[in-house]
Amino acid sequence: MDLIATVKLASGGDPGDPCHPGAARPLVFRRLHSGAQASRPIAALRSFGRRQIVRSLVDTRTIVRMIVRMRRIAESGPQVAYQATDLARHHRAVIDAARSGQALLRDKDGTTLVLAPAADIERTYEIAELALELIRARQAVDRETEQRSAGLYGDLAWLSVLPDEVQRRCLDELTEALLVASSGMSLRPVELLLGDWRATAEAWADPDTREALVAEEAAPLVDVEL
Amino acid sequence: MPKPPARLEAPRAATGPWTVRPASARAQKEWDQATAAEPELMSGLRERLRLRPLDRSDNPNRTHQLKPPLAEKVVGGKRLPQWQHELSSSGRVFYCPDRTDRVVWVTKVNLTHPKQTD
Repeated sequence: MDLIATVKLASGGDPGDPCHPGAARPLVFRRLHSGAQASRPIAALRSFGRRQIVRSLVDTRTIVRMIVRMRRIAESGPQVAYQATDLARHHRAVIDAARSGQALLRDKDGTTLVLAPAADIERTYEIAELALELIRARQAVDRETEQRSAGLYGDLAWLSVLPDEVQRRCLDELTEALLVASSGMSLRPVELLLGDWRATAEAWADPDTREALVAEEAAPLVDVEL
Repeated sequence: MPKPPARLEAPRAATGPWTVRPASARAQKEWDQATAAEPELMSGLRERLRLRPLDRSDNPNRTHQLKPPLAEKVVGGKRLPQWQHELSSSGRVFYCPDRTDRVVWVTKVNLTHPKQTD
């Protein structure tokens, strides 16, 4: 199944309607099968199989598991198929099906659209984006030191300032956290972990800060209160 | 006659404000300089460190627990976790919370942290 594009559902005037622009969980259409330009993260994931991008077998397995899990998320939920005319005749049933997972809509020309909560789709995109960044950074770390540049790390360029073994540990931790998140858990732990590693890299990159943070404080000022 | 069991030390308070102390003379000097330069900012920081040094509920998150090789630091013989709070876009404070004694050891204050990782 191909996920091609997202199109906003035309909204009604009722603010209580989940399709209304102000609704807490806006719904979007995703168009399936051929016809439009592929969305960036998903298209990049599709090209994954055509490129040899990870040297380590373990890493490859991890990434593949992640992608399979993301596809399951994208394809999960009841596959109720509606006709385009159901939007007018049975709109409540269509919306309810979409809110509970996703609803398939078949247009007159056979094009299949998916109506799903926008938050679910955004979440899938976020996971896919970070998975790609992890692949890119892993590729950089697997290169010889003299063949690397910060640019090869993509959005994780800050990682390049850390020692090699620490870079690998960071990628392992982020991959694990992303796998957990992709199983349906919150992405918040991944965000916190990213922030922790970025702060560490930032401090490590500054010689004065690094020196102050690694030094042992044998005689802290126990009588001074700030 | 068997010896009576040793008297246990009273458990320390698990709640209440933390005590904020400098881990070194250098850290104290940096704190004082930062307070002179940004009194309101530092007053807010002091209250934050006293009341909720481990709070990570900011969104976007501005409090981080550092990772290796900066994850821990020895302060007065105790190996403690090392944290960082983003005071501002360029200001950083580093500290080691001691949960046992409820002391926040400030290890470095920097209002103009160079962002070499950008």
